[in-house]
Amino acid sequence: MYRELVVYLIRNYSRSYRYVPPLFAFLMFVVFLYSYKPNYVMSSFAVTASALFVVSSWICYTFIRSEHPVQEQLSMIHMRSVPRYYVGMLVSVLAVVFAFAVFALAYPIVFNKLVRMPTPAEIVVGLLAHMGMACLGSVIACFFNQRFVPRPFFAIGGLLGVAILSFSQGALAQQLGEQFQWIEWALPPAFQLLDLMMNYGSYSSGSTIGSIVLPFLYAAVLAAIFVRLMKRRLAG
Amino acid sequence: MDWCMVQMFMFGQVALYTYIVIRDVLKKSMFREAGRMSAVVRLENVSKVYENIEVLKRINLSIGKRQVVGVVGPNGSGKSTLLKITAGLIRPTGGGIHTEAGGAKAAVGYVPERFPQLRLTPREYLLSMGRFQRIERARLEARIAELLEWFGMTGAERRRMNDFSKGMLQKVNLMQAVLNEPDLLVMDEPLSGLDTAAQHELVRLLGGLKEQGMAMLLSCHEELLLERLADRVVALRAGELGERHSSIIKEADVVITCRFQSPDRVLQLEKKCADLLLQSTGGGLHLIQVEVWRVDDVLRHILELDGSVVSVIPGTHGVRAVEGGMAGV
Repeated sequence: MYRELVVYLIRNYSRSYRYVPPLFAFLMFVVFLYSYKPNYVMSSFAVTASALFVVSSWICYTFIRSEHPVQEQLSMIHMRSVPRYYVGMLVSVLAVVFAFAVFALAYPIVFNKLVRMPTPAEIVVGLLAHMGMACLGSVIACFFNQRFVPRPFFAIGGLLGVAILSFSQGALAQQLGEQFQWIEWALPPAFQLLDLMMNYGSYSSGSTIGSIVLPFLYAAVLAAIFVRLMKRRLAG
Repeated sequence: MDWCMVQMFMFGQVALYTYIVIRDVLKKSMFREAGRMSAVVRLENVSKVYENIEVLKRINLSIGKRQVVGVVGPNGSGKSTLLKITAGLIRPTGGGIHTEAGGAKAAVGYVPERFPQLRLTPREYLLSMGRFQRIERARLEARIAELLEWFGMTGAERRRMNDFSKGMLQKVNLMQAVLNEPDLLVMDEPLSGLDTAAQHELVRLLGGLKEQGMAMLLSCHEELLLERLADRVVALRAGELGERHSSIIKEADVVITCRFQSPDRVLQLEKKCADLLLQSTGGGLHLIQVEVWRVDDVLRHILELDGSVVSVIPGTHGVRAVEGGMAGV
């Protein structure tokens, strides 16, 4: 049932052509980034992962709007569950951004754009970091959908604001002092992932796993809250 | 002479006896039918409040198997809200909805007022909607082929719906709702925006679905649909439900005439059967218009309240006696 929902939603999204602007923006960004040399492995991955955070928010924002509200109601009736429908939608978004993550990693490797060939561990960490960023970006965009923020101007502004705060949370916490350390936990943990990739050699395996798992956990909690909110909102 | 009188007397006895037997047999078969037919959906004291505005006020409504109920009312009277609550799309603020078919929860199909112009072909779309409901692939393929043929859409099955006419879109809308052969079909203004030819075509298709035994709840402004399909029409005004005048009430209705010892008992009966049309006539008699599947239920209530049943008249014979405006609210 989920498989059919994912196939249906992706087919519907692909025929809406709303994916074209984020796709071209990401392709151009990656190609442009690797047109300059030298490109160090993990720091290059950190840059494309940050870009994927923004692009996945963009994709998720357009994906949620791609199904007509009336058809959305019908899909939920046929699925017999609002949560199932939204879980399926999030899985569909992640399936789309997974392709972007694979491209971001494969392009420099296939076209030999890096200073050296990345190790298998670096590829795995790179892929997980990209997907972690994509999960965070997608789930955050869910809270800026039309039902919560009706005006696109505020939605896009809010999304960009959260993205900037997420990337700069380490510096922000340092600037604000001891009593604002909780900001590091409240904001999406994109900064931790970036830090991991920028300083990959200095991380122990335990801290590497922790930094990778944290964004997925954060995204899972936000996704659960989002699905619950949608269920309450739609049930009236 | 005496012998002739005896013969006439005996003939009279035989005729009377035959009449009683036939009447009893007919009555028994009618009640057996009524017993078999139970409510597919029952709304009990359903209310809905949106931002402190009471859109629906303690609605009581039952729809039996094979019964078609039309909901009429001005814009903003709460029709769409009532339909969405019945379809399970939104939750009521108060009261309850009970759906039942063959001991399980009834399957409900929903036809929204405006079906979007999707960039999918009807076939792709119906396949997806069917798979969401976990209909087995082979059965689904067969059902889609059957529906496409029945709705006259075989030529358009592989065309994308974004260039479909309103009539064609409404057919797909109906197909998605009946894909899994639901027990109850809820339709919000199914003829809205269609030209006369498309309206007649859709009414014909809906008539076919009714013949298949599907119960329906529909809102509409078009008399055509109500006259052809509805067994019963209820009117919604400012969130309150009442029975509309009965010019289109069908053979499926029954008029029960009863008598009570005190007016209190009549009030109690009105409370128990809030959605029925009840009218007092002279000489302490009360007429109740009731669908055939609820006859035994109403009779039980009358007897529980120490009332006596004077007559049970099937068909439209009793309808003229109870013509009138809103009642039984």
